[in-house]
Amino acid sequence: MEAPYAAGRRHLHVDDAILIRNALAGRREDFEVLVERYQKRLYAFAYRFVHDPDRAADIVQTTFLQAYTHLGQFAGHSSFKTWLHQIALNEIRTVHRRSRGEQLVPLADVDEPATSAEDGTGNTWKHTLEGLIARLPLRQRTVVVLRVFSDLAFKEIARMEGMSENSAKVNYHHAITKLREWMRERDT
Amino acid sequence: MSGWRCRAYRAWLVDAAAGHLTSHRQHRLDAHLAICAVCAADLETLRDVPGLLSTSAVPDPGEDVWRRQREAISRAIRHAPPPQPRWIAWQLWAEGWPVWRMPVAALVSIALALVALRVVPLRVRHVSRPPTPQAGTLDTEALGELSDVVAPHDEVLSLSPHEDDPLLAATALQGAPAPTSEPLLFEAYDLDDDALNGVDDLLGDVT
Repeated sequence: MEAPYAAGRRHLHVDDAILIRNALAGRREDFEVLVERYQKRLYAFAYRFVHDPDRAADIVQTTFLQAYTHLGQFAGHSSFKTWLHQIALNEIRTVHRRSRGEQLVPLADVDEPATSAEDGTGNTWKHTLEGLIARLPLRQRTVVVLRVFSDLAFKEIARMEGMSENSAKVNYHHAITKLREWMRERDT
Repeated sequence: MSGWRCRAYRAWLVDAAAGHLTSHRQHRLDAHLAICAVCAADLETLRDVPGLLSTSAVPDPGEDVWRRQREAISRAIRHAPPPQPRWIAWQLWAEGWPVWRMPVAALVSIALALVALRVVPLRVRHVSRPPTPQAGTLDTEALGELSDVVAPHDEVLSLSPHEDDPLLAATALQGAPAPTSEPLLFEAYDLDDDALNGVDDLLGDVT
């Protein structure tokens, strides 16, 4: 018997649309290929909002289950990747609402002294960057994460966030210039 | 300079940093950057910082965690009810047909249907119908004169398939090819010139 996801490896280059069509036709293993394709990306996306591995993993799992259950509602107005991010973002907002008052982002991380990449691996600097991103207001953080890390177009981001494309760009501008200021403050 | 003019250029700066600004806007932005050090610095930031950010990565939980999560999702969807297609659009999209083309295709179909219903029948009405005037357009006097002219040839006309249609009968008398007449009947006609002239005059009145 073929192990789960072993079949998926043969479909790594199959278009999302074909896999969705097959999944709707009852081939669950084709949806599992989609899970494998977007699992890590969604985890990184969720982690940048909750900064907790278990919570991020839960969000990913819930996102895929929601996507599978509502796969028939996917009308193709956007890419499947954008649709998944939209579901994940809704789930993140739900988590934020439930955890209101609870500190989701460990701000103590942000206050660690920046040592740049002097440790040889650059891990501290990367950690610092993640901390700075976490300090951004939620909307600006969403735009930056979706643009820089998820590689979504501003048009798609604007649709997800319910704003104009111009507003998405202005939010992005604010976020990037703010990050630069924080980096300079840490360097001095 | 940093004020309301700079705010108007923020979205353009983002596009310019990504190299997506149109040449016209690029010229206008360049003119602003020449006099605004703040926006020029912002442009550099928008070019550099995203690349720096992209080097950061979230902690990788490890392949074992990924595999266990996939298995958990797999188990969950196997117990979940199968998704039902709710809209046909995804199928068209799945075939590589963008959804926005559907309304366009619908409009084109409607336009073609309108053309088919309105324009084509009109042309058929004008082109394909033979210009046959109604029998009622012949006045009684003209028909009487026609009967007199044709009377000597009753025997021949009685063989004609157009005996119920005075106009077709007259056409046959003129020697013009009748649509459904047999050639032998025309050969049987033996009309003198006077009779033919009389028919010509009558037809002139009719048409």
